[in-house]
Amino acid sequence: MSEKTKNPPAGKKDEGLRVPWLLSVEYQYAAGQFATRFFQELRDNGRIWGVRCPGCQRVYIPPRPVCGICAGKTGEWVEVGDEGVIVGCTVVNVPFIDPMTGEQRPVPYGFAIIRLDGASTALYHFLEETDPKKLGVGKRVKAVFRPERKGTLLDIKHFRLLD
Amino acid sequence: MSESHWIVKQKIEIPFHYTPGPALLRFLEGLRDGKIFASGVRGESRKTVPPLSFCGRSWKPADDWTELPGTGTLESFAVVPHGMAELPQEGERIVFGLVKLDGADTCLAHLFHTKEPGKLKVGAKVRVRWHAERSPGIQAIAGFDLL
Amino acid sequence: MPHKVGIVATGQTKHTAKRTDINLRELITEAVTRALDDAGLRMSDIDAVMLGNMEPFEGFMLPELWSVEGWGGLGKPAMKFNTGGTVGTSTAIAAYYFAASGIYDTILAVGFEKQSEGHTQTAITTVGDPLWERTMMAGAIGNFAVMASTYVHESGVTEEHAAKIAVKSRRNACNNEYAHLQMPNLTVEEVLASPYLAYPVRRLDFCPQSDGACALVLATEAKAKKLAPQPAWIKAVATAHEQQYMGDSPRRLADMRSQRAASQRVYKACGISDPVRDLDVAEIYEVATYAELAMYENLGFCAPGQSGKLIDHGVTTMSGQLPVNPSGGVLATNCIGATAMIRVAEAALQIMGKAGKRQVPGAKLALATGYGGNAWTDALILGRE
Repeated sequence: MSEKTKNPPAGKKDEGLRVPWLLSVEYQYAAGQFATRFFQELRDNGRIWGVRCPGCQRVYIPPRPVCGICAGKTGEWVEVGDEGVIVGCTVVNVPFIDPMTGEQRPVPYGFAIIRLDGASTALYHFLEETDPKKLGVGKRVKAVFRPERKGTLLDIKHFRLLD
Repeated sequence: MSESHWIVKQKIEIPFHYTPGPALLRFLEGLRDGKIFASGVRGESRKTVPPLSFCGRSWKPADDWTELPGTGTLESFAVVPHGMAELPQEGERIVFGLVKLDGADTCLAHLFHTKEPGKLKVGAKVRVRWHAERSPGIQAIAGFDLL
Repeated sequence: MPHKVGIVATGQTKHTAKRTDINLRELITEAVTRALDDAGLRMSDIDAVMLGNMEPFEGFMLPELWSVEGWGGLGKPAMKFNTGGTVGTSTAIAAYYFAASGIYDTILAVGFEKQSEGHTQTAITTVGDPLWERTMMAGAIGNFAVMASTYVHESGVTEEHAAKIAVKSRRNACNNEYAHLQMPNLTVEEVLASPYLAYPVRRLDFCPQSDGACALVLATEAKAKKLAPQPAWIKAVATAHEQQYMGDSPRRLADMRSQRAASQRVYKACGISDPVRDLDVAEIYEVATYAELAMYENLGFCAPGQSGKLIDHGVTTMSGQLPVNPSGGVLATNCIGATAMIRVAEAALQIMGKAGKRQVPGAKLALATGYGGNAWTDALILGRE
């Protein structure tokens, strides 16, 4: 049991008695076959793959077994680029507790929805740049890989502006 | 984790602060003072502990208060084989039990330690054992001793 | 054919940042008691109860169990719904289904949330897929900011347009005794001076976190006519969903496929071809100012790229052709499990002619929407006939 669990912070004095409780639960998520292959390729070869729907020809990232539009099986793996375009972006300033650590997530940080070259859908990822004036929809970015990769989406450290 | 069955471990932690509301506040502060309070609807005999501020059956305020004597009956219990929240002391076992306190119509759930789990049985008469140092919370009750 | 169903009564708490005087159960009782009093009913008159809440905001599993004495559910048929921002409309729609099917005649629907007891943005971040999105997500604020950036880029709406929405909401809220953020003197300049929570969304562009509960009483036709001089008849309901990942529909806020689908479905059912002309009032689930602007397009209130003009011309203000959120909307009050139900309650009050200072005179047809999980939309049309 961590110190945090033993002694959660009490409520503020002026609010009267408030009973503290820390929800702390460990989960083990099965990635499934498609994400497993994606993350292994990312880790071992530094390459990014999507899957194509034979019906509508969409190339999905994250890769998945079924196309939600056509309700049919996907299956053909397609390598996509490590460069792409920002379709939505922000710089987060508001402090909040990160559920994965129970601690405040460091701010500011930039993140975006990025459509990689050759993909139809877009991916959430971090941006290196944290000045909103330098960011923008339509700007091109490139993945910066970590030297040591573990098989998670964070094997890509962040995306760097190209322009 | 096998290469074909990728497992991602993740912990989720979220802190909460709960407002007890007027009835539970009186109950929790009573525990701090070594007293157990139950409440019910005026004119009705039913008393609940922990107390409610409002009775969902008669849809009336439950503001008729009673102090309970601290004795009761063990209605059901389970001896927990392994430490859950805290590891028990040498020779102790953790017991999760429901105690119907004398004067109450509902059971109070509590977790307590005992060195003699074999002596516990449904229907046994018990008495509350207080911690010497108490703050407003259910932990003010250390456990229940067999009478 | 479904039975005709009307909303006959509503009950709300005074929504606020922190209700530290009462617990969640007691908060629920407050709204339920007000709805029963409004209908002139006792709890024993209620056939079934539908509940709406988002568990991660309070950290209770099965809050309906812990709170059962607070909503009179002992021994009654009951169900709990948990669908994100839409939970309040999903719960109201479920109550409608049970009444319209003829299974129950008099149904209580309750939505509740005590945001102050947990960490809203933390809990919302767990909406994200743990492998793909959770690491980057910053609650609803981050998601809406990303979507807003796309919408701003494509529609040409300005910060001033967004600020006008923020002012409209908080000023309208002054006419609503239940609203959380009431700011009678708020100006566009003040909104533009508020700091960025997440670019381009400023603090006053975003909804507050509120503690609150809302309750509705729904009844089938004969009962409804006895219980209310003018029930708010439920004329059409719809729910529509999106694909799972944020990037599956990269133009999520601009497109809002689910909102287009749900609103078109209820419009078609009611013969509405021009919503600005045909509707008298709308209570929509707009978490951010930019979302309200995008929703003007997606709900068919204006052509693509014209939402800024709609607010510039005052079309959606109290004196405009289609007042949007006379209550102040979500930008003034967000107690998530209750919020979408408040949209339905406020639309019902308008139809029943009981909206007090925020009444749109002669309102005959109202739209209420819910929006959740950055994806789902619910829509209801309420009317006098």
